[in-house]
Amino acid sequence: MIRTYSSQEHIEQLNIAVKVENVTVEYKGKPNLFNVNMEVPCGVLLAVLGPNNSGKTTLLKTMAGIEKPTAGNVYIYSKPTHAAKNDLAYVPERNMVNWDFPISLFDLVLMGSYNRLRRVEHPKKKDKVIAWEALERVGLEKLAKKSICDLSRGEKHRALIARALVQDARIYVMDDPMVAADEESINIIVEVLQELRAKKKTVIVSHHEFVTIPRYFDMVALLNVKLLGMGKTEDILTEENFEKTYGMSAGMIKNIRLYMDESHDRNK
Amino acid sequence: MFSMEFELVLVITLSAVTCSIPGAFLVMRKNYYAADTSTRSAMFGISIALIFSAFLSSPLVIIFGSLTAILGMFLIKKIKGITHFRSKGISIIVSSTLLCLGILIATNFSFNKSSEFDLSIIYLGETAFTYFNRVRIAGVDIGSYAFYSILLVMIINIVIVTVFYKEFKIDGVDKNYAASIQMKEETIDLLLVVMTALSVSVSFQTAGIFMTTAFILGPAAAALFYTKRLSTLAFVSVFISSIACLVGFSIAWPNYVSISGSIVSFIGILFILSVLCAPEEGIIKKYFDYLAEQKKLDEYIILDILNTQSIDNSSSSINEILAVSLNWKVLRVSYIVNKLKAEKKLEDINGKVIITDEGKNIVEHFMKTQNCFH
Repeated sequence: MIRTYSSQEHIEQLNIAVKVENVTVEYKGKPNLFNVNMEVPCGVLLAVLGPNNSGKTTLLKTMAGIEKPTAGNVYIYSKPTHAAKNDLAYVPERNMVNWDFPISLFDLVLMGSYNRLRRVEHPKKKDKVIAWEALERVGLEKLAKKSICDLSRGEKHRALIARALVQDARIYVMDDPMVAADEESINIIVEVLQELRAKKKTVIVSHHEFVTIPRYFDMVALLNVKLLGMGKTEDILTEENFEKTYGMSAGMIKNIRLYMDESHDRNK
Repeated sequence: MFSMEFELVLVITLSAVTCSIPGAFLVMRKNYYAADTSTRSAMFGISIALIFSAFLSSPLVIIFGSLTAILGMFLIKKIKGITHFRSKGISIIVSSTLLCLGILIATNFSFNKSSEFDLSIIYLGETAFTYFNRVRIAGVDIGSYAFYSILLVMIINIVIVTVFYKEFKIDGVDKNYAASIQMKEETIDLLLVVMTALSVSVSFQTAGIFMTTAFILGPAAAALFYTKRLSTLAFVSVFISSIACLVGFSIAWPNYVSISGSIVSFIGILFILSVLCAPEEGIIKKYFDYLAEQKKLDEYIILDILNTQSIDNSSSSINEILAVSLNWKVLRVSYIVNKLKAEKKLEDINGKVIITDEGKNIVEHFMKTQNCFH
């Protein structure tokens, strides 16, 4: 049964970073998302899983205020998305960025400060220091002057994450930040995600690799146009849920379970 | 006020510079069709304006031309939103329709009002004509209408770019990010459309409907071969426009040929020269880079074989053995082997070719840096 809240104050009391309420998003009359309800608690690392065209990107874009829902509401810390531009940093899919645009990596990362600037105002020294620190955090400071078109796939992912770090938001929404990235980039991105969680930031990530989910994420949301399940990783990664979402064989789930158990033992 | 030649050079240069400002952003956003659409669509408005006005520099011409250029681009966006056609295809249909309607109106109504012009002037422009429509204050001639109208549009373009520089930059790189920080994509699109439409409508008197597209796209496209910085690109683009105007005019004026035609030809030549000879991005440089990379790869291939495989490495037969194994010519193998020996990456010991420690280090480092081996 769907829980509804009578007031926005109630959401704050529950410590909810993002609340998605009966959201439907359609494209040419067909729903990409259908009556999705979810509440993302503060300070969690949430993976959004689902097959291709299940609406993962649409959900993240709707949270970021990029897509306008046909029906329903999205609240960011109890505010509507258009009033929360400084609360949420969005990292788009790598191939959604025009990498041929003639700017340097540093300029791209510095763009993260633009939401704090007024019209005609240019980034100040302080903003540049923050951008430089973000570049250092993702290990790209040596490439600062390089044109963005010359970056590798993994470096492009890291650059977009550095830009999000400059935004210094409370919520980070990342669309496939590790897809087709190299090992070094994945390790750095995972470290950044865990640092963000340690700082009590809320991180919502669409993700494809099932095997790494138990290792990286606290919570999982299973999506296939409708939200099919959301909760703690160990509770959600069940055969039943996966079959509902992917129509997938139980064998793969068993492998994931096996991996989860092994990593659990290692942690012990 | 000035000599006719000077004024004409000034007007055509201003015109090219004005067009190159929105052009730089259109090229960077890969929105090439917008320039073509706006020039063709502007014809419709210009023809309507010429029913009421008898001269090409009239504000009515600029306003009507801009409005229909905006209408053309608006129609493309709307049609794209409700169909599955690509922008380029829709652009051809919409802009050609507006162009043909413009031609019909022009030939049937507009030209009856004035004998000053005909269709060829609207198609190809005639810079010399701009000199004859003068602005006079208290009887004092202060220059041509064309000069002031183009100057005004150039100032509008510069103001828009200065005020919305950040927005243009973000929108050009990442529309989703722009939307996520509540930056309105529609506003940026509209501003660019307005800049393009105004530039087209004000420049058609000098460059004509067809050549204005080259004024918009040519300099920016050529500039992209020289810089990968947005601010520098805008300046290089303006510089290329100015040079093309000066050279084009100097060729056209004494020879009594079309000024805009000469300038656009020169822009084309500059573009082709840039494609071929640009220091970093030119085809010639890239070809030599490729050859150098290929030679390096050839060296790594031979070093790796000698490092990891057990082959007959006697000095007398190694070239032939490697040539057969790699399906290369013996000459190519012997050239590389000799080079590697000279660089101390291979050495001859007791009639055997052996890889040195330096050679091993180089090839092992190469293997580590290749993504596919991770």
